Amino acid sequence: MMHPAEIEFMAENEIIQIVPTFNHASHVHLICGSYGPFRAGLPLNVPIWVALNLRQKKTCRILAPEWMAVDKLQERLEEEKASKFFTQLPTNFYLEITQMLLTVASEDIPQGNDIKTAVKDLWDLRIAKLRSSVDLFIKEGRVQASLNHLTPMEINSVRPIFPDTLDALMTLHEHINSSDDREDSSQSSVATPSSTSFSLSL
Amino acid sequence: MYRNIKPHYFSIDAIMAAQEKIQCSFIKKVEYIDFLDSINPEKDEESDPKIELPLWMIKVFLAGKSIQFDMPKAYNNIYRDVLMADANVVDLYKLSKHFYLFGKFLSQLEHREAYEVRRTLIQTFRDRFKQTMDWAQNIDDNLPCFNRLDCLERLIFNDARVAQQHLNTYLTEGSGQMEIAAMILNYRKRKMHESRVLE
Amino acid sequence: MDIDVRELIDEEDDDNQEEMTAQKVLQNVERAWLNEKFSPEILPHQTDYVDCLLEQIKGMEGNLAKLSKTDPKVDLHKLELERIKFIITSYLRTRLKKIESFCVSVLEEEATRSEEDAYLSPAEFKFAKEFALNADNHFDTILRHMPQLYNKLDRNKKIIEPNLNSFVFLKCNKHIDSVIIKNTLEGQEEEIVLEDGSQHLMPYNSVAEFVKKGSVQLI
Repeated sequence: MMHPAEIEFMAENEIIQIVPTFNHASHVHLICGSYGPFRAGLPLNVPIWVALNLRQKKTCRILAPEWMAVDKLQERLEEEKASKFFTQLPTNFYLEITQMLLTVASEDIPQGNDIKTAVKDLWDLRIAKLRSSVDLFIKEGRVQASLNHLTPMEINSVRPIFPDTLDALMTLHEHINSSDDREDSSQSSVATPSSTSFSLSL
Repeated sequence: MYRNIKPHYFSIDAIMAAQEKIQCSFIKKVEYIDFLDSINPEKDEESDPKIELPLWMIKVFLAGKSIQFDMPKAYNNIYRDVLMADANVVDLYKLSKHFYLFGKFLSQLEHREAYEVRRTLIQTFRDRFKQTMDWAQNIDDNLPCFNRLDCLERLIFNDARVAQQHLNTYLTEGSGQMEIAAMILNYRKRKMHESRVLE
Repeated sequence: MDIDVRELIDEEDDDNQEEMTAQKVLQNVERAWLNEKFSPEILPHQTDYVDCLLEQIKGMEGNLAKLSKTDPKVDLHKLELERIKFIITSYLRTRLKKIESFCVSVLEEEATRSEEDAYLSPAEFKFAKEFALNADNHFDTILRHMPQLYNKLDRNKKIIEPNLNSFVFLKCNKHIDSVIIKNTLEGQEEEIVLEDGSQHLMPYNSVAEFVKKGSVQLI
């Protein structure tokens, strides 16, 4: 199982732009990459976790990613409504990034509340779509699904119930193995089922 | 039969399911088993047509072709019809605690209805899935619903609900960060403690 | 002391080569962590990468100890180390949990593998053997009091195995021409093509070899 906080943890590796309020001419050589130079007033790219740390210490301002704007999100929403499939989003972590930035740097992001609402609408729409496709998938008895453009958090929203249900269904279908008998193999080999239950197909 | 693990010897659910009783009758004389019917020690098995035995024991006698059994109520043709008509209205737990597991064991036995039973299990599970998923998603007040789920559905439901609660908390409060911070804090405390111990 | 600080912060650009490697190693461990989290079976160990990261952490911690506490970059380095430690501990713990759950079958499979193909690291292998021994001893102390007919636990009964048919979510890192999916429902096989970058849900068994080769990432 994956906790939503762990997915947010992965989202923190995404790169965003900040405007530092301090000067540091050299790069910071992190294991995940080198970032810098930091010049007051000049934007640069850093991982989100770096941005949040600096922002919490009030040594930078965070620039909202391009997609994080009410009109852009509305467009996405319309596109999502019109499409039968899941549309491709500009980031794999739209929900988490919005949540993190609005929590730590709400003053840096104009129209924060509207953005929050728009992102929640997009999420709700996609989750509703996802849940009905999950239901259809189970009903149709398929064994392979394409999940293109679904984000990790969206996928995690149907875990564990979706894979668990499929696992249970498969086990109900499976041919008889003596391993789920509670007796010696000598007996279970005799107690074979009628031939009809072997050729089960729906 | 659940979650990334193959059925195995220590499975409590499998033990419980194999203990469910089934009504059966002997078709051949079997000696030295009077103790099974302790209430009527006088009669021998041949003359007593109906007796209730646990599933695991029936398998032993079936192997010797000395017994035949009736499908338990939950799996007979009347209930199969009910379930096929609308599985969502049935209180499965009341019908059979281990509806699917016991049913699967039954369908593996030599019986003319075995195939039908298996088909009903699969169809019932499928039909009830949407309902289970919806209940797991809506956290409030679903105890009455929960009570109607069989043990397998309960396992799936419980895990789904825990995950849903995590997600809901995340969506309303965010704070994944807080948890990680707490972890780091504990780590620092431990380190501080360690260094003090070292001193 | 000042030299160390400069090495840490003002590394020359020609050191980029080495830096790339550390970054790569970190990415590999992150991938291994997710794969391990979602795969039903224990995967081949990634001790080389983990050890390499641990070395990095150790070196970095040594350098950080010499830095002034007020340096704004100290926090960032410390935070990154905590993040990496989180991944490593979560990864190792996930593996230990699988070793404990599937101890007997893990050891049996490991016995069929050569040293180069081992799935368990030497330390994990030692842990698994001791765990199995302790479990056996525990069973024996209890079963000793049972009648003779029942005081042995059959080897087969002790085996708990992962269900390799469990469904997993995955992302394809490169084009794969043919993946065979056993359709238990219809008792037949399906063959599909996995496009580069596509995401799917299917039984783990169908992609297990690709997960181990790195062409499929569990998500």
